[in-house]
Amino acid sequence: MSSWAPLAGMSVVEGCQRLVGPLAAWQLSLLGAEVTKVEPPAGDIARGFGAVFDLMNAHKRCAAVDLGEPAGRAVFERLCAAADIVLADATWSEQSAIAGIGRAGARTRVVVIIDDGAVPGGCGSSETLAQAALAITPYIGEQGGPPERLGADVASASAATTAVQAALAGLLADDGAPALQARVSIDRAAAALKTIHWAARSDPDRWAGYHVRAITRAPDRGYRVSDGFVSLDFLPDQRAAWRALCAELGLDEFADAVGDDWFSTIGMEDRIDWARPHYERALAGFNRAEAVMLIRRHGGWSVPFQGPSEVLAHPQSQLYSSAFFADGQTLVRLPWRIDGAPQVTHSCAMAPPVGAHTRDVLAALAAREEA
Amino acid sequence: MSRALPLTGVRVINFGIGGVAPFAASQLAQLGATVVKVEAPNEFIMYTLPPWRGLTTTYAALNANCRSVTLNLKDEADRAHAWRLVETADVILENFRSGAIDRMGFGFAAVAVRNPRIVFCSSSGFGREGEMAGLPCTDPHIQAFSGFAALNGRSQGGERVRYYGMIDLYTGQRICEAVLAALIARRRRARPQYVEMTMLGAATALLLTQFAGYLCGGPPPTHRTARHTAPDGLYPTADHPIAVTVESNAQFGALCQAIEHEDLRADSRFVTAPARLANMAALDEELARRLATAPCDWWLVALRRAGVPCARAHLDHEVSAHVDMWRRGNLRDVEVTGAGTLRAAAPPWDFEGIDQVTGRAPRPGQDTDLLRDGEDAFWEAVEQKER
Repeated sequence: MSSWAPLAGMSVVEGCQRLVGPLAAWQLSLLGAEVTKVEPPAGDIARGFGAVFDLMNAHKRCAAVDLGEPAGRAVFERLCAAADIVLADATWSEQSAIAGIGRAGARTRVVVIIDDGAVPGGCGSSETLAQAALAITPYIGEQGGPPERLGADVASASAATTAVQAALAGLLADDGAPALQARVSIDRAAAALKTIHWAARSDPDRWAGYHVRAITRAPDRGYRVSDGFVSLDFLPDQRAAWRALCAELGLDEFADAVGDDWFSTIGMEDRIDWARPHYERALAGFNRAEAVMLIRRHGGWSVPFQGPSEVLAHPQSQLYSSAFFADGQTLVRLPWRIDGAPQVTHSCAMAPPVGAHTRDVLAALAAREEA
Repeated sequence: MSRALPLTGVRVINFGIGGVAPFAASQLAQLGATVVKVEAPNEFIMYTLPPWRGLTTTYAALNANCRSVTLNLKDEADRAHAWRLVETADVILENFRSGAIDRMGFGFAAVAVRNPRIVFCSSSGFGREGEMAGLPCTDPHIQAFSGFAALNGRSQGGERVRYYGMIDLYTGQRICEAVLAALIARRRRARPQYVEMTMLGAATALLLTQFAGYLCGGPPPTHRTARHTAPDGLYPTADHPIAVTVESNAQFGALCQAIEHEDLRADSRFVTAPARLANMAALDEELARRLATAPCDWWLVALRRAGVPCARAHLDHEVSAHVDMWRRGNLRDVEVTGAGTLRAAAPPWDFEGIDQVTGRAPRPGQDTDLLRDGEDAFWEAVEQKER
């Protein structure tokens, strides 16, 4: 099967550790680029992170280079000069990357620096630090309860994507100028995901709506049914449909009581905490599948809350998820389709050991320079 | 003279509404493209709270740096305007209910005939095929369905993040990435590019780093285990929560010294990174007990001196006023003609030697009159204004 590979034939040098740069380079490899991962001799610190390291790095060539030594720096500079795209970490490889793309005869078209300096008000940078510093964490848990980070690596994933965007934009910038230099960071990318919230809180005419009030609410688990939780929503113009659902659920009295204010009792609106026990009492006899079908039959929006094993086994995931199980294999692919067809590219495998390809990488570099 | 932004000269038409497609379009505009939003009659973001000077703050934030025209696509003259915009565009974005854009006459097949170099991106919740095809979806629903919610909170089943919209905007970011890749593909092979994004695809992509262990043959992650290293979390102090991340044995040693609990280093449950991860709950308990003995500001000083990554767990008003947020360029002001200025996220990239676009957002339809002078004059006028 021929996959869509707009970066086929392009080379990426990744001088990055932890999540952001390696994830970005992996996304570039899913677009067809060939990635050389450069690590210090002790290895990327994320080699201690477990399976996530394998997932992100299995399809790269791994070279070990000591940037603390002049000879190592020279090698890294040469690798950068020979690559189309360079990704570098500000705290480790930035200086050598910039020196590399400034070398005579460098063919590099774009270098993206992952600024992994301190998150606002902090020391150092990580997914958890970014979530905390950017005020993402107050939006889960009980108000005044124990603080917690989100499970998903939202800041890192967003930062990796901004790095990929910068790299692709650099390839598109054909103004004849030297390599485009871009800079992204985990806190900047996390801030981007909150733009609705910065705006909502900066100068609203009324203190209303979930963007400003949700922080004070109870944990949002949707609506409890017999085997888990489901979501429930209608559009503002669907009052009659909502009323019909209430009638079927025996919620006439509740529906009459809320009257014109019905829309505030569902979705993300301001009275959901107050209204939740009413809906949950009425839905108690249903399981997730039954509740979802009932709500949809009335024109409402509803999906089940699912765990990871359920979502990856779901028939819709076979069609559209970025990862899924098929024939005993796990496959990972781009989150989008091209011309109506999914783009399957990577299976799960172990990442190469530190420096597994150093010799090959150096030989290929020498051959390339010769040519 | 400053170099131009990388997408200067690229023309984008956004037929989309809500959060996903407009944010993608806005990101393309912030990369230098000229983006025209064709306002749809069902743009619900104009009714999403909170209100602001006849607009909503959400509309202004999501459509920053775009142009806006109002066209009635059922009216012949307006359709002709829309077609001429489409014919001269590089990119079209839309996120109507499945198939609606086809019924309006501006679907991929129709557009590709008249503009064979188009990059056309449709997005939806669950795609066009399968048992969930065409079902409506917004951020809270995909949080529930994708497993995102399952990894949050303290109880089985998880909970949704109550600042809804994060997966919407991440989907928008991936659309921006897909469009950039398709523009490169178009250069290599001159043919129309049809990209189909789903929120299901984007949400599961967002979760890949936490799903990794499960994908590689281990158990599925839960709200208790969604970590890559330990200790790594938020901890109560005497006054205010602090975040701490330890990624190496050296950092763990420094942490133990800073909290004056050096025997933890020798504890067999915590001597290696995998051991710390396996005994994360016990380690968190030890750490929380120590950190509760002094205020957050003290620990920030002590841990910084020890070289242990840490940060204060801010509230919104604390971080948006924090000097580092502005010093690191994370926020900017966005101006709307006749309305004033809002605070919003800055473009997520800095390009060396290139000025960022000025922060501004349109009022719906504010550029419609320019179109009446003809499309060439329109593009010239709006591209001139970008510069």
